[in-house]
Parts: sequence; C-alpha cells; structure tokens
Amino acid sequence: MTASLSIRDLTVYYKTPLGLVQVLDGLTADFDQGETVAVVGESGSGKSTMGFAITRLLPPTGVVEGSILFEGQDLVSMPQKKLRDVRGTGIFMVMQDPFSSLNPVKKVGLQLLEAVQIRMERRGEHFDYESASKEVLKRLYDVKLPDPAIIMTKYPYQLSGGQIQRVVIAMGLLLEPKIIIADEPTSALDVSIQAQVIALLKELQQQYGMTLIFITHDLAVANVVSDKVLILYAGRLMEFGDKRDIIQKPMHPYTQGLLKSFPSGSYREKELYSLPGMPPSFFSLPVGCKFSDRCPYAFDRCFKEEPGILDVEGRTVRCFLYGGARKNRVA
Amino acid sequence: MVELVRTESLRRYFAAEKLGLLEKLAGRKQRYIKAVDDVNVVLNKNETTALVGESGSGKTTLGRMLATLDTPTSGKIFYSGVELNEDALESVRHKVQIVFQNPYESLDPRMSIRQIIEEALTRYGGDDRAGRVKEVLEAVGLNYSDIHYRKARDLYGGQRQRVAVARAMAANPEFIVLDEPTSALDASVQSQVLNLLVQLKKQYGYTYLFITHNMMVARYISDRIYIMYAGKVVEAGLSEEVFTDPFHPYTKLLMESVPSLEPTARLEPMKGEAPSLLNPPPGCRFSPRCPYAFDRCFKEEPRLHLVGQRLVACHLFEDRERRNFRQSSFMLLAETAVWRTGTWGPWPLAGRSC
Repeated sequence: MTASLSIRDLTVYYKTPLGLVQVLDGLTADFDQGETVAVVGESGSGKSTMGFAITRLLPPTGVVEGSILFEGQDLVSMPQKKLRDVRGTGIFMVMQDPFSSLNPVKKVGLQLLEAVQIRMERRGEHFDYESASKEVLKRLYDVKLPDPAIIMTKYPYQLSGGQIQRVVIAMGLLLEPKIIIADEPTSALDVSIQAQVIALLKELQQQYGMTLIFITHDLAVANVVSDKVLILYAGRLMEFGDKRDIIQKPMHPYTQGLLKSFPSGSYREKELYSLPGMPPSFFSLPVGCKFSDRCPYAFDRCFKEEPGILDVEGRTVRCFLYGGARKNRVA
Repeated sequence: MVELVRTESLRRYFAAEKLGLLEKLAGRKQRYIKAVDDVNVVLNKNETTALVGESGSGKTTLGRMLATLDTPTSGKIFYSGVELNEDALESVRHKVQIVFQNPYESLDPRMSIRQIIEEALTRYGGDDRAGRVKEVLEAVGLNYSDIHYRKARDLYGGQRQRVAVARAMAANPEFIVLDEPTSALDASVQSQVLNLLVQLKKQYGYTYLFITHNMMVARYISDRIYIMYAGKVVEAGLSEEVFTDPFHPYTKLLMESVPSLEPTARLEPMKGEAPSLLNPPPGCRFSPRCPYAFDRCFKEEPRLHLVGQRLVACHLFEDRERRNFRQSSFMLLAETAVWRTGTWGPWPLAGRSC
C-alpha cells in the first residue's frame, strides 16, 4: 500500500502575546490509502491543530514547519491558490461543530449542488443541473436522511445536529475526496446518533476507498472506528500503530493509563484507576518527557531528556522504557 | 433503605410558542412541549440513582425540578415524606444542591474560589464560614492555601469541577443532583472526579441523582438506574441487573450503540431519531424506532409495571408478566413482598393490566 499522506517533522507554533507556543512537535506519520486512523488525545493535545495544519486552515497566528506530502506535493509550502484545488476534492474536513461548516442563509440543496459543480469544474466536466440534483438526492439517501427531497429545500437551522452532520458527510461524498478528516464529528451528538454517523462513515469509507482521519478524545470510539491509532499528548506523538496492538497491549504509560481509567464495572467492586495530576498546559511543559510528571514509571532520565521516536514490534513509541536497557520495566 | 425523594406523576410542559391576543381570539390552541410527562421516581437515602437518556429525554428538566430550580406543571415531589410546596420550600432547599455540567460556565470567573464557596453559605452557613470553606475544599482534594485566592479561570477542568462539588457540599446538603458532572472533562480527569464522588458519598452519606448520557459512567457510579425516553421513564431497576439483562428494547439498543474497548466491539446503530415532544407518536413513544413493535404498540401507550424487581414500560413484558403470574404464584408472592417491604418504591399496583 502506498501512503496517501505522509507527514514529516510537522511542527506548529502559535504566536501569542507571551511568545511562540509550540503546539505540535516533530510529528511524523504515514497514512495509507483506504485506511482509518484515529487520532486520540485529550483537550490541548494538539489533535485539532493537526487536522487544521493538514488542511492549512490554521488561524493567521499559526506557524507551520516540516512537510505534509499529498500526491507528491508539499501542502506546507503550497501557495493558497493551489490549495483551493486540494481542499474539498482532495482533502475534505468535517468540523466538530456541523452548523459552522454550512452557510446559514443558503438552502442545503443549493450548497450540495455547489459541491457537485466544484467537483465537475475541477475535472473539466460539464455541469448539468438535472443530473447533479439527482446525484445529490442519491447521496442524501446514502447517508440515510429521511425524505431527501424535503431536506434539500431546508435551511441548516431547520435541521437537527445529527441531520446536519449527515448533510456535511453527504457533501464530502459528492466532492469525492481522497482523504476525509473528521474532527470529533460525533462528540456533539447523542450515543444513538453517534453510532449511526460512525457506521455510515465506515461503510462509505470502505465503499469508496477513502482515507479517513478520525480525530477523537474517546478511545472506545477509536476502537470501533479505526484500523490504526495515533496517541497525542502535549503535541507529541506518544504511540502510533495497529488498533489491536495499541488497545489490547498498550506500551506507552500514558496509553495504559487512559485505557485503565476507562469506567467499567461498578464502584462497589473497585476504585477507578486515575492518572495523577492534570493535562499539561503548553506554557509550562515539563523539561524532559512531557508525560514524566504524571508517569508512574518515570525515572531520572525522563525528567532530564525528552525521548525520541522508537520503532518497537511494528509500532512507534516515544518512551525510554523501550528499546534500551530498561526494557523490562513495564511488565 | 430509607426513601428520601419521591415524585408522583410529575409533569413539566413548556409552551411551544407564545400566542398573541388575535391568535387566542381566533381560537388557536396553545401547544406544549412535554419535557417530563407523568414520571414517578423514588430515590433512596445514601444511594446513587442514575438518570440516563439522550438529549431531549427530559432528564435535565427532571433533575432541575428535584433540585427545586424549576416548578412542576403538575404532580408532586415529596422530600423525606414532606410535600414540596411554597411553604416547605425554605426548609427543603438548603438540603438540596446541584452540580452543573460545564464547570467553565457554572463558576463566576470574577470571583475567587473562596468567595464562590462562601456565597453558598450566606444563607445557611454557621458562624465559622472561613473554616467551612477550608474544610470542603480539603474534602474534595484541593489545597486551601494554594487555591482560595485564585479565580476559576486559573484552574483546569478537573479542579473547577472539584470546586463546583465543594460549593454544593458547603451548606451541608443531604441530596445532590449531579447534572452530567464529568462529560465536559477529559478521560484521565473523569475518573478522578468519579472516585471523589464515590468517596464523598461514603464519607458524608450523600444521596445522588446522577444525570448522564454515558452508559459506562452510569453503570460505574450508580446503585439504581432510570432510563428515560421522550419525557417518560421506560425502564428502572438495580443498575447491575439493568446492565446485564436490559428488558426494554430501547435500553437494549442504547447499550448496543455504546462503543467499547473489546477487540470485537461493533456498533449496532438504532434507526431513526428521537421523536418530537410537541407531537409524540401515538401509543408507545418508542414504537416508530422499535424493532419489536406490533399493532398494539402503535395504539396504546404502555404503562410502567413491575417485572421481577424491575419496572418496564413495554407491551412485550406485560404479556410476560401475565404468563409469570399464571405459571407461578411464587412470583406473585415475591413481587408483593418487594412491594410491601417498600424496598422498591410505592409503584401503583393499579398500573398492572392483569
């Protein structure tokens, strides 16, 4: 399989009144065509920044370094004009808040037709209103919206959160992108709607062979949706590999802690495991490993020096416990 | 087990639109959103009762009514046997507290932590207010001298929610309504707050109503559980039982749509969406989405009735109940015993259709 997106040393800073804040540090990862990668992290771990960096939608205060290769082109150095051709038909992003990604004063149908028009224009095809509206109806039907013809005549505010999210996904399908980045597409939705949206994304991804980058804070959602899991903490890649490996046999102490603190059973049986301390703030990160202040296995070296990326048993881990003399510390 | 809070056919309707004089004269009928419709719950002392449902199921409205922040349209709330009305409000109110979902919004950003907690004591506090502030902050695991002068904006989500819990504890309540207290928090912090709540309950004998949409959290924290759908309770029982063997089709489907960490985990999404509360479907409110629905479900609304130790509002189980009754008089005896000893609430026996 070829990588459809390769990220090399991606570093993102934000300019703030207090100076530059580094939000992503040297992120390197390859995403293969047709696979689903879940990017998991807590708030402030840099997971949304990663999505915005790939689509180059960072606010003006964001500074990007490194490279993001998509179809042989580097997105980081690409001029804005060319980027417009990549967005939508190349890489499509589903935002966390679905209402903000649609135009509130245009009818849903019109916005979807616009998507078809853009795709056809970019491919040099002739846009025909009749066949385009048929296609829109078909896609709205694909995303399991009831009465597509009625939905088309409505404004975004007349639809519910779950319906809007599905309209946005339908728009993504109409644009036929190579990569869909979904930034917490289900966290504003109820469990039953969440299950519907996830099942839909999976089904469509398999059908059309798209690469799906699913950003979430919930490991359980990552478990049901993905092939690979990438764990971010304080802007650093902590662990990246096959879903089965990571969820069943986590290596990094942070991943282990997250999995252990997942509620299960009843309070009468046991106390929940909880990681000590708080998620980090980018203004006061520890000197060595960014997780060292909360890590139960931390030793001298962790507090002085930041571990690099290591390849261990087919996955990537950033931890001193592996690949060296300390190999047997975590049983 | 002592009962602390009980409701009797509690209802809360919100006017769907404001009618003008002309519309009223033209005879247009006022429409209502039935957020909570005929709900009976019993909360036992020193127990955690989870209230689970999707958005729009009425769980927060019910919680607000029990926390005396909202007045029911009809129905009664009993607090330690005393009916909650205007006269009793003063005496009940200080025993009831609430913790809101989002600690980023529920704490005044311009007040210091000490002021936030002291404010809760202005009416019901004793003489030593400063001492009490220190006491509750330390009970929730915060260091008083580090934190009392700071503003809420300086704190992290987990610390803020601890402050919110401390504020609820300050006036020495018996009953705390926790409205989604962990859903705005990160996974690694959520477990800290859940552990804290369990520990405080043991230590101070609190009674909790834990409102959540997260099934795993509900299972962990609660002794009993009420599942709500479109303003009605559809199933209620001991948490362990409900989670290991859900009866109502909605409960079953809800559990299948919760992602888990099992290697073979798959999602079984429920079809359709929650109904409009303006025009709830006739018959059972879940019938349009229910895979087991039959004729009767579309016509007749099922009532809550006792099946074993469980309350279920589903026609499928009425039949099962009837069979049970015919087959074994033991079941009948057991159920009446449960009913008489009051271990499981005063459910109207008239609700049974046998």
